[in-house]
Order: sequence, then C-alpha cells, then structure tokens
Amino acid sequence: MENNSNPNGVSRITAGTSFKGEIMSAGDIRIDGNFDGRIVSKGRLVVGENADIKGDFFCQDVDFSGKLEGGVIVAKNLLFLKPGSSIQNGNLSFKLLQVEPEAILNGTCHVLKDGEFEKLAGMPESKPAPAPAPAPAPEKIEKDVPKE
Amino acid sequence: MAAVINENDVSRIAGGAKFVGDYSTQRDLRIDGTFEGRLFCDGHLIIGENGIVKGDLLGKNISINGTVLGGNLYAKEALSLKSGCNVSADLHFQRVQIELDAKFVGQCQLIEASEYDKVAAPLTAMLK
Repeated sequence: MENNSNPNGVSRITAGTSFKGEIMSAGDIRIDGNFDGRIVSKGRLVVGENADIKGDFFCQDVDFSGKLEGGVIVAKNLLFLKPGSSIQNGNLSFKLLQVEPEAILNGTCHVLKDGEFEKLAGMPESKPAPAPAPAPAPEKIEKDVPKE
Repeated sequence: MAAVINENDVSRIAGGAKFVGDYSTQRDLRIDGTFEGRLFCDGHLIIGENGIVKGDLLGKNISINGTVLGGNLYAKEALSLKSGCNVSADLHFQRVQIELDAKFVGQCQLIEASEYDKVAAPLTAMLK
C-alpha cells in the first residue's frame, strides 16, 4: 500500500456543492459549500465564510470561518475561529485555540491530551509517543555476558 | 479578508482523499482520489488517471481517465472514455466517445435529456 507523502493538493467542496457522507483524507480539505457528515483528515481543514457544515470533524488544524450547527470539531493542533464564524452546539477539542473578535461560539471546549486525538478519531496510533525518560539502564543482565 | 479566487470554483477530490456518500455540485468536479456513492455534477466531471470511482455518476459532460467500477454513468451531453481508463459500468448518454486502449465492460444506452433529469432528481434536490 503506497504511502501518500505528497497528496495531490487540496480537496475542495466549492460553493454550490453539497456533500453528505464521509471523507477520509491524507491531505488538506477546503469547504465552501454544504457538508453533512464526518471528516477524518491528517491535514488541515479550512471552512470558508459561506460554508454550512454539520457533523464530526477530526483534523490536524482547523481554520474556521463558516457556520457549524451541532457536532464535534477535534483539532489535533490548532483550532482557529475567524471573525464572522459561528458555532452553535459544538463540542470542540483542540490543543491550541484561537478565537478572533466577532466569532460566535456556543458549546463546550476541551484541551486534548497526548494520544487523545487518535482515540477520538478512531485512528490507530501512527507515531510512537515521544520517548519518555528511558528505563534505568539494565544493570542486571542475567544472560551470559562474557566477563572481561 | 479572504479574497475569492476563481480556483475555488472547481471542486476536487484530491489523491489521498476518500469520499463516501452523496455528492451534488453545480460546478465542475475533478476526482483524483477515491469516491464511493452517488454523484451528481451539473458541469464537467473529470476522473483523473488515479481516480477510482464506485457507484452512480451523473454529469453534464463526463471525461474518464481513471477507474470506474460498478454502477451507472449518466451523461446529459457527452461521455468520453479516454485511452488508459478502466470502466466497468453501464453507460447512459446522448453522445459518447470511447478511445482506443480504453478498457470498457458494460452496457450502453442512448438517453434523452428528460430521462437524465428524472434520474438526477433526488440528487438535484440536495442542492436546494
């Protein structure tokens, strides 16, 4: 199975478009139309000013300028609510949150712990957690260690 | 202040993306990734070489360079299977072109525009 380290650019749901269903993407997604469903993305999600979205979104970064009615946004890194954006009944989870003036936010906020994003998105943990302090050096080696 | 760029007028399913569901658009659409479900495009529908589509497609003009498995393709005007494509579906069109080296298995049928509109009705309703 090929690993798309260079996905061909951005997926787009333009204005005048309506999609109901699921998106699984390795790349970035931009929505300017209507979306109802679930997105799991390893990239960033940009929601334009005229976009109307509903559902669950799990992405690396989220750049939000549109409208959300109900649902979940989980941003592994940054969730950015731009001026004019509106979230009603949203459940937001993120590592970093930036809310601009004149953004409307009605909902709950929650800061993600390490590894929580993968769990919420239903993804297998892709990269090992950064190595914590290594276990104390194994002094007792029971096997045959040729003594000098 | 976001500038409106014309580039945003073409919807796209990029390589590395998988869309599953019902999709309706008034604009053009290009598929380089994977799509499963029902799709209605009131413009040009282009399936790129690496694009894989399973399901029913309705487009004003459809141009296929990639893979289409199962389902029905309805083209309101012209349907074009390009060299190198792999299509395993039933085709309904007003005009068709199948290039040499296009792989095609399925049935073909000439349709009128009115018949196309009838089949497209449930998906067009999504756009309201």
